[in-house]
Amino acid sequence: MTSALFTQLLVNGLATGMVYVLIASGLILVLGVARIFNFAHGEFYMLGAYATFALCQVLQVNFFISIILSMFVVALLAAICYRLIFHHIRGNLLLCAAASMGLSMMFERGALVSFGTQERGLPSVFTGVMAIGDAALPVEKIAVILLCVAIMLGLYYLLMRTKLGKAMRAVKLDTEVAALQGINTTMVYALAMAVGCSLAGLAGGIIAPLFSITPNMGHAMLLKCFMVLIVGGLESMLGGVVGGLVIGMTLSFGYYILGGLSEILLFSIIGMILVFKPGGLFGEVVEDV
Amino acid sequence: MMQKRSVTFLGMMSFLLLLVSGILFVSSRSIAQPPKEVKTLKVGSTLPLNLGMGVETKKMLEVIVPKFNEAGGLTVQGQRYTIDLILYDDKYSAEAGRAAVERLIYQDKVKFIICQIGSAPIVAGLATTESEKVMSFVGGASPKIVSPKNRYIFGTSTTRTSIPPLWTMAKRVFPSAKTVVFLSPDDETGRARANEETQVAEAFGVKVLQVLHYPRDTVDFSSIAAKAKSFNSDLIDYPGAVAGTQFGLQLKAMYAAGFRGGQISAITPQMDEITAVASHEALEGLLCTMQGTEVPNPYPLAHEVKQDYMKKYGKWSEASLTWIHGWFAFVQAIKKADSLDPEVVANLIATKGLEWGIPNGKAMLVKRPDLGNNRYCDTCAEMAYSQIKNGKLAFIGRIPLDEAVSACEKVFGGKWR
Amino acid sequence: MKEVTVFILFGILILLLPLILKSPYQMHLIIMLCINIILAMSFAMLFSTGLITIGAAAFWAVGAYASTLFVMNLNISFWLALPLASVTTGVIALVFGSIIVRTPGVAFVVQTMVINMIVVQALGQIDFLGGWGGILGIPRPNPIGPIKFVSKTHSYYLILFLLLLTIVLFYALYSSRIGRAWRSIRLNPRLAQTLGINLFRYRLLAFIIASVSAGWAGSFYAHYFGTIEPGTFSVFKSIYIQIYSILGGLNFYIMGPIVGAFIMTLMPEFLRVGKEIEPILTGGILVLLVIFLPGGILSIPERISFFPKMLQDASSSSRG
Repeated sequence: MTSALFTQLLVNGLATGMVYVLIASGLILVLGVARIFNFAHGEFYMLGAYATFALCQVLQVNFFISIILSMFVVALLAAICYRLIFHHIRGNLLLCAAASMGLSMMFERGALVSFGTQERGLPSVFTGVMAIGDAALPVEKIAVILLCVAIMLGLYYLLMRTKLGKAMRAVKLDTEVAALQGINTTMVYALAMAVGCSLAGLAGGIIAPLFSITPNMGHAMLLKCFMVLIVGGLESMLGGVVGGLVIGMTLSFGYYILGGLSEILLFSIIGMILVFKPGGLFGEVVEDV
Repeated sequence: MMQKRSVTFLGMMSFLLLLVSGILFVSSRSIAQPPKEVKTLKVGSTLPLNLGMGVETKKMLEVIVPKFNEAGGLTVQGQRYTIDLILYDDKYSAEAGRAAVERLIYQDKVKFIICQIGSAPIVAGLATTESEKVMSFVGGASPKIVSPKNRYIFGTSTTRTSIPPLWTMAKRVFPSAKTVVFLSPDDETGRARANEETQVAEAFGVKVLQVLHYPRDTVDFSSIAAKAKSFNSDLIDYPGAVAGTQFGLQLKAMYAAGFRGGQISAITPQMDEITAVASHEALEGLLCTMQGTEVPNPYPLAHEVKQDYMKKYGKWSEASLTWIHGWFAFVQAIKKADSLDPEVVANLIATKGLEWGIPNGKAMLVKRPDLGNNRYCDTCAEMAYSQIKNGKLAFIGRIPLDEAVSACEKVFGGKWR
Repeated sequence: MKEVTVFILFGILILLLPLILKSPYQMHLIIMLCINIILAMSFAMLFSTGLITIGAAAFWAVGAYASTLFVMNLNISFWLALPLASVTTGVIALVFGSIIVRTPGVAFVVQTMVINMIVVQALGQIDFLGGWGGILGIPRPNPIGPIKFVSKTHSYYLILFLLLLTIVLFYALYSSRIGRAWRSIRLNPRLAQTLGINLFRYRLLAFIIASVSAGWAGSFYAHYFGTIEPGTFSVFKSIYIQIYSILGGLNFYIMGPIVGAFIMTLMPEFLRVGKEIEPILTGGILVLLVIFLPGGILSIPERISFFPKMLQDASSSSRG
């Protein structure tokens, strides 16, 4: 393998991996703070992509503004879903899983009926190729990496430095005590869901020019997301980052080295983690929910 | 546990009630048809309504069949018939397809099924259609469809026979090409097509360096493209690819990986979807088939079909053109046999063959001696080809029916006529 | 006494069903219903210990494929293949189960989903197992005397027999010490532990039995349908299986699956309303159910019975 090829695969893996990190972080945030397991998380990713497409392609809005607007749209939708649905069943794992599965079915089919079976695409925003060493790297992949890193930094800032972030962390630690401290827990849950799902929506918007937009893209992404959770654990953000990057790199290098068996490689890694570290690399084995 | 028992009781009462009402409901749905002067012939179809090509084929049939009925319908032995097309969603899967076929045969009592697309639903329904003697004029890529054991099913799309003519054209466009790499989806169709195209390529003297399979729903082709490029072949071919955005992504990734050789595709790319994701440079020069409605001088049938479709729906989509052959074959077969008995019609065309017209031109039934089948069971048709120039399809030529059949005979062996 | 009469009438109806329903298509629906009931019961058994699985379809697949391969490659009779396939499913369930049962809760759910995906992927990728196109031409069960299992009626009686067997087995288990242990684990795992109940062992037992029952349903399915392909056994199906149970009522481990599977299998046939929007309706129903009727349909009597009691209390207190 030449160094050029290595760099190419590395950058690919980083780009793919960072996208997974973004989406998985959203899921972990919702799970940790609001204690909701959201099977429809992938659908928010899909909706973010479609919203960006609609704004950018149909209404001719600037790409970056489209992404930000779609983020708000997805956040709003998530908050509404929280208030209408999850608020009543928060904490009950099965009911949340079932309700979010129902939501997922509705969103996916709804998107199919509204947008049609035709796959959509956005033209690349960052065209051109950049040379690093003797590798020719598509600029848009680098852009994806940078954007994702920026958003993750923003998330870090939100969680660690702002009042809302503190409230979220407090609720995550112990919701009763947090309430006693005067934190409006319902508001925090709703906002956690909004932020978490908007991360997925942002990811959808970011990759819209890179890949195609279909109504069922949410499902495939959700599966990858779960793998990230298995690898990194359900609890920690760091786990999400590590998990996402591991999966991204495995897929990128794995395909080159093993061809079609790369999926099997992925599953084997997952299998080993399940056997040796069931809670994920950064998680603990939670006794009983 | 008093409560449990009363629940069981209640549960059973409601079950009973639901069951009885259900039975009454379902049996009431079969209403007897009052006798008419013009009789109705029920014809069935199952389509993947979860996919664009299925939806488009449904839309096209909903234009062609009523027009056919208005023009007088089918006349068999002096009796006029209007066609009642009954269509179910087979979700491109064996399970749903089999259920749909059984419903068509047992509930709706059809004797003819047309235009199915996916191999999975078709093959799953085979046991039933064969045992109930229902004639099928279907698409599908699987060779199991034209197995010699089958008596009532005919492959009327050119999926199995379109590759030799394609490569005939490829040799004209890329005369000095000696090596090729295949990029195929990892599913039944992808694997079958890759095998087939390997055989064809080698018969034309082009060596297949590698077949790369990707998971069906891949969107990120960067790694695969890098790997494909590393073989440095003269050509890249895409057997079994799906015509939409995913194909565009593959082309985009190949270009980004640095591949600049010749590219071939057996399917007609959906240009609006592909140009949405890939730049013109990435698409330039791709050799692909062209539908009969898009060539510079389309045949009258092609023109008519496009006009009618656009009149009803406003915009045009050619996605259905590969799959509607079954309808035209069905009509022609009935006319030729002048009978509505599947046994009679099937025997006639299996032994004597059939020729009919489709928007692409002429089509005919061929034998598949290479698959052990000496009945007329598969289809060859005239084909048109184009290359992408500046983001648009540019017509480069046709391969007439005779030449297409000869190309197939050369590659697969045996006498097909 | 009234209940016994209903039981008997009901039993007669079920036995004579093929005579009432003439159409093979309707019989097919009923047969699929019986299979779905077994699958839903499998989910419910795991739920009775507090575990939620969205991987039931994977074990359904294992049973189907194992049985098919035994019959088609080893040329053994279906009647031998059925128990063998069940055992195979049990072994695989043991292997997977002992890994994942240790981590209940969300982790378990995700892990069952991944197992389901792995199984489907393996079945698709490995040509020996049929690949994505699946396996076709699976032979019918070997004839017993004059019964040839070609007609739907014969298949119906076979699945009915399997279903009843499963119900009896499950009922026996739920009524036994094992069932009581499961229920206590579901109610409060910590407390159950203090009573000396080994969480891991009992959960694993439930996992294995539940998976094995899905396995024999799979074996039947393969030889009945004649075709099996990986797509049938996807996570989507597992989610539907879960819905059967939730719709019927999660607290009713046998009746719940029956009611839920009945509604979900047969309702789409009655509502020929746009096949395209069917998942939207199903999804919507699920969401509404979860919010307003989390106990499922069978919890309605409970809720209704509150009213007469309230009225009674009100009237008796007014006499005061």
